[in-house]
Amino acid sequence: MEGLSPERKEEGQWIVLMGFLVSIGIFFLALILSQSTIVGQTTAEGVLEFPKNDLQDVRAEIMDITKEKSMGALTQMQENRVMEDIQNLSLYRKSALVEYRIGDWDPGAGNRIVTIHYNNGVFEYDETASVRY
Amino acid sequence: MVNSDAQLYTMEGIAAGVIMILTAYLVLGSTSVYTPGDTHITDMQLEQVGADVLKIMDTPPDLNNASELEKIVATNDGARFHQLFWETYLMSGEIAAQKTTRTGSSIITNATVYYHYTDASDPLNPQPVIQGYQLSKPLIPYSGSEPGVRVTRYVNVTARNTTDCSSCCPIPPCDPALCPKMPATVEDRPQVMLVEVFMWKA
Repeated sequence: MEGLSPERKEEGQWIVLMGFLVSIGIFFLALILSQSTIVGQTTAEGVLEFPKNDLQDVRAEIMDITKEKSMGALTQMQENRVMEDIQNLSLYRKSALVEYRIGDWDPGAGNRIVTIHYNNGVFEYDETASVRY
Repeated sequence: MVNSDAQLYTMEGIAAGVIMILTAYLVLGSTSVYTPGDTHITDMQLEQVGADVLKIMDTPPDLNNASELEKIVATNDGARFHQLFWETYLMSGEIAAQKTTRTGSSIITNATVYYHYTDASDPLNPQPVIQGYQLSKPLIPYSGSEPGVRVTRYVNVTARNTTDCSSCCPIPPCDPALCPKMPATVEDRPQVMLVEVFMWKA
């Protein structure tokens, strides 16, 4: 840089300073980018682990049986066998413990109490529902 | 004469060193290699879609009718299951128009129905038995290496042999004898069966 005047030398320093700023900006973008894959992965794992669909399915099935029971479509014997179906299939195919009890119709309150217990080793769910049929 | 040139060079050197170390750290940290073992994101999407399809199929049109899935299980109609699950819902719309064949690069499904019965061969000690039969076969067998997901749905079945064969016979009058039958060990009573669909990308 022999032939350069002092003014030209200062221009070079500005270029270096701008280079610093740009590289700092890229650092921050890379930081944000590195978070995105981790976030997607952990969210997906959380969704996969939570048995949302199984819970909804078991619950809907029990409410269906409650409806059939109140319509008189199931005898006590048949109802017990259906409960064995759900318990055994849940235990052996879904590795989840399911217990439920459909209470008797309470004419005074106009409802029946249905209790559901679900436990698959990771999540436990208990519900006491008041059913109006 | 004392000047500050050397000090500036030192500071520049330190700054350059910091930048290089930070760059190496961030480059190594920001790239994550997407290996076949970490396909949780696509697995989650596939599982959700599959569970939703089963839920739609198990929703009756009204309170007095059985759902499509119940009719399919009652008549053991694998062809109808594949048509609804795969063609109508999973590969609906534009995707179905592009994929008119079942093969090729797409999602393969295998459906099994599990049921529970009591083995009373020893009357003093009856045992619960869980058994399954294939409802719908995959066209390509599962190799064991593709990541797959399993979705299930409980289905109400009123009796072993149904008299309603509207799902397996599109043109009335229907003959229930022509419908495929459930295995003989299925007990003839109102019961709950488990439809299990295994899905993977081939």
